[in-house]
Amino acid sequence: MSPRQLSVTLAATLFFAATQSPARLPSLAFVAAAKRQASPSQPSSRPATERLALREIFKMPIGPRGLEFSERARSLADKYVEIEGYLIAQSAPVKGQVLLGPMPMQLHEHEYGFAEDLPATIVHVVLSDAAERTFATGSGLVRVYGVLRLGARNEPDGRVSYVRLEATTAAVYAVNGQDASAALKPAEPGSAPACGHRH
Amino acid sequence: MGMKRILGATLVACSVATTFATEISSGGRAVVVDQPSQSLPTVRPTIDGVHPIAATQFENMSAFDIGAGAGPSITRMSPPSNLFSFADANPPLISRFIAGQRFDFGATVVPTAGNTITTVEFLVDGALVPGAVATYAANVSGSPAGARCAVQRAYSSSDVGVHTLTVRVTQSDSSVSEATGNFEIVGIADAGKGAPRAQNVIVFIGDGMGIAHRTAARIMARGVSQGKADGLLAMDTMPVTGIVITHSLNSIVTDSSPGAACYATGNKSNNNQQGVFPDDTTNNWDNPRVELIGEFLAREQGRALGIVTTSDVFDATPGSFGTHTQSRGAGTGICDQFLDEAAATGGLKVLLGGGRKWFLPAGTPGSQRSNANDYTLPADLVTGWGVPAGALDSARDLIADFQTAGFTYAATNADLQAVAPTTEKLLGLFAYSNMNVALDKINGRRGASTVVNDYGFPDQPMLDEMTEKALQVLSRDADGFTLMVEAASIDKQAHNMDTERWILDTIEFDRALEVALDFAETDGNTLVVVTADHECAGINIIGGSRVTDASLANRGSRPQNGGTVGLRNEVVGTYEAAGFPRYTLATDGYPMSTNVDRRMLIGYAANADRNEDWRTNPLPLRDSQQPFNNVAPLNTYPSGPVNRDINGKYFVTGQIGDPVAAHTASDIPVSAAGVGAGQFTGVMDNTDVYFKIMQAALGGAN
Repeated sequence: MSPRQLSVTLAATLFFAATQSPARLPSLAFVAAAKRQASPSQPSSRPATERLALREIFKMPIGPRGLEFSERARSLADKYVEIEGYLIAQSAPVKGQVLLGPMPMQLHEHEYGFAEDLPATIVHVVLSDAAERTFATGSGLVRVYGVLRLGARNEPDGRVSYVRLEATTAAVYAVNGQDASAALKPAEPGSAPACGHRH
Repeated sequence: MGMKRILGATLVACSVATTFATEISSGGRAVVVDQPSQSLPTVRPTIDGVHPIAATQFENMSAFDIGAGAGPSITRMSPPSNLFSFADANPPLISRFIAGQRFDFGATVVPTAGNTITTVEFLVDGALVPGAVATYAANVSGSPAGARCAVQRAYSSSDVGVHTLTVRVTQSDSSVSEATGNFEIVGIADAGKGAPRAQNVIVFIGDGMGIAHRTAARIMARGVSQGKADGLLAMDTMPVTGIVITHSLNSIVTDSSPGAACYATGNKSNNNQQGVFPDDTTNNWDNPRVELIGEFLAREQGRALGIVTTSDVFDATPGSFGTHTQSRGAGTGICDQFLDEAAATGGLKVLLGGGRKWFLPAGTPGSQRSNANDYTLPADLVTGWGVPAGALDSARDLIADFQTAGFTYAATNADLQAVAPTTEKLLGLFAYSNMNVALDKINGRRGASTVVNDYGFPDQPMLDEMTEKALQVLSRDADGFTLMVEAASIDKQAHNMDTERWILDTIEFDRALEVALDFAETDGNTLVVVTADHECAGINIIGGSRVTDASLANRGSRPQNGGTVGLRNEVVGTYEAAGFPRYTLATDGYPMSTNVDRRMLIGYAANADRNEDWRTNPLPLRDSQQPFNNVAPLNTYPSGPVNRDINGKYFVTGQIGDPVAAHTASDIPVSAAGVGAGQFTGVMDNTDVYFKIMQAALGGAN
C-alpha cells in the first residue's frame, strides 16, 4: 500500500468513525496502526479532526462552585477529537494512563498528595494498548487523538476524572518536530524515586 | 521476686493467681535482659512511641520474638515517652500537656500464642483511670495474630508535674503484663493581677521558611547598601527572636504535618500525622488524639479560631490546626472535619485558602470528594470526645453545609472585599487546589501574565488581603481568637528550586504579617508569633551574578555560551564579587522585575538534580492552550527541575535522589511581638512554642 493509498484509507476510516455512534467506532488500535504506518512524525498527513483546546473544555473563568462543561465540549463528547497539551510527569504514574495538561508539570504524589498545583483543566488519557504499562513523560508539547469522554469516574490513583481521552500510544504525537518517542516512553523500573514522604 | 527489664522499661508479666511469678518475662524472649544493671544503649534506635524491640512495627519479628513468652507483650504506648522506650525517666519529657488539655492513652498489646487479650487498663501514678478502654485489631503490615490497639479517650489532668502512665494487660490464660511510661502536665504561671494576657493569638507559619528565606526576601524587598540593610522586613522588626528545633517524633527531618501540629498540640507526632499519636491500625481516624489549641481555647474560653493559607485548605499546616488524622492526604475527611468538629465545637469561624475541589459534591465537575478518603470515627472516640461520627458522604455539598452553619462564602477576591463588617463566619475558597503563587498573582494583576486566568481563577486575593478580612471577622468575637496564617508555597516553590517564586511568597507573607502587627499594636491584647514548620531545600544566598540579565539570557539560551564555565565560573560572584544586588519595588510592594542585572543567586543544599540558568521561570500556559496557534511552543519549560533551563547546559548534580529538593533538619527562626513575646528567645524545641503561647494566652506575661 502506497502512502497515498494508506492516507486515503485512514481518511475514510476517520470519516466513518466521526459519523458513527461511540459504540460503533472503529478499533482505536486499527486507527493507530494505520497512522503509525503512515508516518507517526507527520500528524499533518492525517485527515482533519475536530480540535479541542484544553481551555475550551470548561467555561472559564471557573465559577463560584463547580466547573461547567462548555457547549463545545458537550457537542464533542464521545467523538474523536485532538487535544494539544503537555504530558504531566508523575512520580506515581498509573498503568495505562497519562495526564494531559495545559503546561509542563512534575507531580510528586508521594510527597504532596493531592495538595497540588495541577489546574482543573486536565485530561486523563487512557491508553487502551498499554493497560499494564506506565510511562515516563517528556516535557514537550504533544497532540493526542482519541475519543472524548465526559463525566465523573474514579481513577486508580484516587483522583476523580471528568475528562478522558480514549487513545492508544500511537495516537500521541509530538508537536513541532519534537521527538515523538521522547513524549511518551516506558517508565524505567526504579526511575521514580520512592520518596514515601510528604511536604 | 525476679524481675527483668526490656532495655530498661519495666515490663512485668505475672500470673494473677500468684501476683508475681518468679519467672517474669515480657513475652519477648529475644529482648528480655537481666536488670537492674542493664545500661542504656549508647545509640537509641528510632522511636515514635514504640518500644525499641518493636520499632520495626512488627515486621521482621517472628512469633518467637513476640507472643511466645509467659505473658502478653506491650509494643507501643501513647503518649510516647523515653521511659517506655528507653527506661529513661529523665528530661526531656517527650509528651507534655497543659492542665486540662485532653488527650488519649494508647497501647499496642500482643498476646502469647494461643491466647487473646482480655483486658487492658491504664493507670496514672498507679491509680486506675476510670472509663472505657476500647481495642481494635492491629492491622498494619506484619501485625502478629491477636495484637490489639487499646485506647482510652479524652483524659485530662490539672495535677501539674510528671506522671507515670502504666498499661496493664491481661490475656486469656490470666497472665498479666505491665509497662510504664510517663508524661508531664505543664503548669501555667499566673502572671499576677493586672498582668496582660494574650486575648488574641496570631501564629504565622512560613512553610519551609528558614533563616535564608528571610534574608533573601529582605535583600530583594529592601536592598543592601554599604553593608547595611536599607530596610527591614516586618518580621525583622519584631522585638524578640529565637531559634526553634524542628525534629518530628520519627525523624530528625520533619514534614509539615508534625512540623505544624506541634504548635497546635504541644506534642510530637510522626511524619504525615497531625493532632494524633501513632498507632498500629491502618484506619486514618482512630488514633489517640491530642486536643488542639483552637479546640482547647474554644472549649475553655469560647475563643474563635481562624485558619488562613495559600494552599489547598486540607493541606498539612491548615489541617493541623483543625483536624485529627494519621493521613494528611485524606482530603475529603479533613475538609468535612473542619465543619463537623472545628466549626461545631472548635471555634472555627474563618477558613480561607484553596481547595474548592473537596467542597463540591461528587459528580459536580471538578469535585474530588471520594469515600476513599472520607472519614468516620469509631464509637469510643465519638463518645469520649463528644464529636460527630462523620459519614462517607462524597455527595455532600460542603459549601452549602458551611453556609447553613452561618458561614459567608467568598469565591473571589471581589467577594472577599465585599464581606460585610457584620460578618461572623467566613469561608473563602479561591482556587481548585493550591492557590497560585504571589509572583503569578501579582503578574496577573499587572497584566503581565495569564497564569491565574489559565488556571480559571483570575481574581485570587493576596495573603495580606486574606489576613485583613480574617482579622475583621475574628475581632468581632469578644472572647478573643486564635488565628493561623500560612504562606504555603514558600515551601512548595523551594521544593521546586523555583527561586523567585518562593522569594515573592516570602515577601507576600511578610506583607500579611505587617497587617497582623498593625492589628496587634492597635489592639494591645494580642500575641503575634512568626515562625516556620521546618526549613526547606537547604537554601542559602551564595552570592550575586557578575553579569547582566541580558548576558544571563544569552548564556542560558545557547549551549556554547553556557555550561559550567558560562553559567557558573563566569557568573557566580562570591564575596565582594557578589556586590549588592538591587531590585526595585513597584507600588504594589513587589519587585518590578526579578530579572535584574547582577541579581542575587541562591544555592540549595538539599537539592535534587537540576539545570540552572538563574533566570525567573516563566509559565507559558497561554501558548499551550491556544489551539494550534502556530506559536512555537516553549518546549523547554520545566516539567521539573531537570527539564527546565536546559539550553544553557549547566547541570547541577543533586545531593539527594528525590526528584525535587527536600526538607532539612536545620533550626528555624521564631520572632514574636505583643503580649508574652519576651518568652520567645533562646533555643527551644518546636513544642515549646505551644506552651509559651498558652502561657501568654492563659497565664499572661509580665
